[in-house]
This record gives sequence, structure tokens and C-alpha cells, in this order.
Amino acid sequence: MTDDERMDALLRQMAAEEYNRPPHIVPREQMWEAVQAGLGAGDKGLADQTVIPVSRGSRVPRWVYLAAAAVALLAAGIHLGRMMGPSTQTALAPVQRDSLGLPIDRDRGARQNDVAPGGQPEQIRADVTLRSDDKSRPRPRPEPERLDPNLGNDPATQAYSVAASQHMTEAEAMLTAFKGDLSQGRMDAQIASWGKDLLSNTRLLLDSPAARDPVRRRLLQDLELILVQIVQLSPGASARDRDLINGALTDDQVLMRLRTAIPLQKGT
Amino acid sequence: MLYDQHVDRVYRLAFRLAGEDDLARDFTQETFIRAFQRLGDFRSDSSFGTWIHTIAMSVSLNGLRKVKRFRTREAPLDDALTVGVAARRAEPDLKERLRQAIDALPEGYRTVFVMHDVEGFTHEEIATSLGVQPGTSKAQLFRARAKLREALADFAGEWVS
Repeated sequence: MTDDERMDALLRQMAAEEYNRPPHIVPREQMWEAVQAGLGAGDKGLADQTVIPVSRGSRVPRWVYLAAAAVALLAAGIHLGRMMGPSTQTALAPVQRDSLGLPIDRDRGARQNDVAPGGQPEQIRADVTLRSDDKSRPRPRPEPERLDPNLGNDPATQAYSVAASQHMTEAEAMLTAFKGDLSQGRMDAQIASWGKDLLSNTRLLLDSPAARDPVRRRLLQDLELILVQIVQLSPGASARDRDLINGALTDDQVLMRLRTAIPLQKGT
Repeated sequence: MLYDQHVDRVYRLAFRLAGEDDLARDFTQETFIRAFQRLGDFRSDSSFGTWIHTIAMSVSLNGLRKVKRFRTREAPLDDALTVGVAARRAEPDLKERLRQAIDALPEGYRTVFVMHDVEGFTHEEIATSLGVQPGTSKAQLFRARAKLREALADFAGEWVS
């Protein structure tokens, strides 16, 4: 051993014994209290995690936490979407209606019950004529269709579903009022303007994610066809013209399908 | 608990570097607070002891730099008040000379010397804690010892004998 090595050893021994020699008793408890205070009340649980094992490989991989967080987030989103469905529907401002279910025009006061004086029936579209021709032969009654419950789990799509449900509720009310007028042999002019609004909304819904569901899409397409006929029907249309529309309503069971679809949608 | 497993060594190292109980406590507490707050960042590719000593070294060295800056600003007033006392002070003995020599080492040298020769850390542990290569740690220890030998050369004769 050289002199330098010998001196190094002595220095090392002396330094270990004397240099800033710490006390024998470490103030663990006081420091622990300070650590807990420093972490704050919200993080005390974190400090208690000191019991976790530190050996290699014993910790749960981070991707497990990420995957669990993603699943939890997804589940929360779906649950939130389901919760929002009915509440959003009820939150929408309901249209004020009179006893027949027609919307009340606030600007013009009460709905116009007067049927316009008789006039020449307008030309009805060829497709309506075709329907009247088909009316003579028996057609199989379509089975009541149900909406696909697997669709619409996406919160964004659910918003459109709520709008579609609202729209179908309004369309059902309008068609009921229309059928009531038909049975009394009159035609309310207000129904035509109501039908125009419903027609444009139907077109919008057909172009939206709400129409991804094939059952709903067919229903909206049939509704659009009915609405086109109603909108084109003049107040003084003949009984034959009205019968054509009524026949289309009956054959396609649009009203029944609407009534079937609305409560089902609310439940999903 | 992890705290119980590691607090003694962290406190001892902090005390060796700071030389004061209050500072050592502060550094130790701050080390564990930061460790618990960043527990999610801890990767199992190193031991928890190495990881917490990395935090301890960062906390202690940064804390000591702040204390040194503060004391440097306060030093002129202290010197003026103690000038008479210093003149009457006896020649420091070997222990005091050693303490002064270690304190006078550059920060890097002193840190490695304290960790290796005083507290018994390996060069690998020191390298991980300080974020340097083990070779750097060895080189700094070599220079630290050389500086101490040089500072205490007048005692060398009686020590070696």
C-alpha cells in the first residue's frame, strides 16, 4: 500500500466518523408528519401507497391502467348518453297544440279551422296515382318493425335519435289530425304549413346519422312520401285526392309504425 | 413501508451534505413528498432506493446551492461581527481541518466523496443518482482524494507514520 493509499484510507475512515456526523436517532416520526402535511389531505392516500412492493416486475404494467381507464371512460360515455336520451327529449320545448293536436301559431292566434272554399283539385303526383291503382289488389300487411337497438350507442348518434323521436312524435300528431280532418271531409290549411315543416325536417333526418338505422330510414322515407302528398294537397281538394293519401297512410301503416317506433326509441 | 425502508439512508446522506439537522430534515421531507407525488413516474427498471436517492440528491444539491447563495449575501455582516473572535480562535485540529477541506471541495467532488467514501454508495449508484457515467464518478472521487491529500499534506507525515 502506497502512502497515498494509506492516507486515503485514513481520510476515508476519519471522514466517515467525523464529517457531518448524523445523529444516531433519525427523527422519522416528525419527518413523516411533515411529509403527510406536505402531501396534503388529498394525497394522504398516496403516501399510504408506500406499502406497494418495489421488486422488479411486481408492478402492474402501465398499459393495464390505460386500458382500464379507456374502458371506464367508454362505459361512462355510454351511460351518460343513455341518461341524456330521455332527459334531452323532455328538455326540448314542446310545441303547443290545440285539442286536435295542431300547433298553435302564436303570431296568428288560434288555428284556422275554416276550410278554404272549394276549388279545382290540383294535379296529384304520378306516384300517388300509382298507389291508387295498386290499392285494388291485396298487399301483404307489413310486420311491425322494430328499430335496431344496437345502433345509437354512440352519444353523437343518440342526439340524432332523440331528434328523430321528437320528429316522429310531431309527425304522428300531424297525421292523426290530418286523418281526423279527412273523416270529417274537410282539410285544415294549417296542416299544409305544418306538413311543410315536417317535410323539410324529414329530409334533414334522412341525410343525418339518424337514418343509419335501416328501419328508421324506411319509415322516414314513407313519411316523406306521405308529407309530400299532404303538402301538395290544396285546401279544396276533392275527396278522391284525400282518399289517395289516406290509402297510402293505411297501406304503408305509417301511423302505426310511427306509434310503434316512438316508445321503442325512448326506451333504448 | 417504503418510507421506513429508505428514510434513514436518505436522512443520513442529506445530513452529511448539509451538516445541519434542520436542513437535513427539510431535504428528506421534500424528497419523500416529491417521491410520493411522482410515484406514477417510477419505472421498475431501477430499484426504488436508487430512484429515491436520485430525488434526494437533486433536492439536497439544489437546496444547498440556495443556502450557499443566501449565506454568501449575509457573509459580510457576519464577518464584521466575528472578526475579533476569529483572531482569538486556536489552530484547528485535524478533524476540523478535514471538515474544512471537504467543505472546500468543488461540489461535484464533494458529493461523490461523501457518497462513496463516507456513505458507502457504489459508483453505479452514484452515477444513477447524479445522472453521470460511473467513470465520471470514479474520476471525480480520484480528484477529490487528491485535493484532500494536498490540503492536508502537512499532517501526512504523522498520519502515515
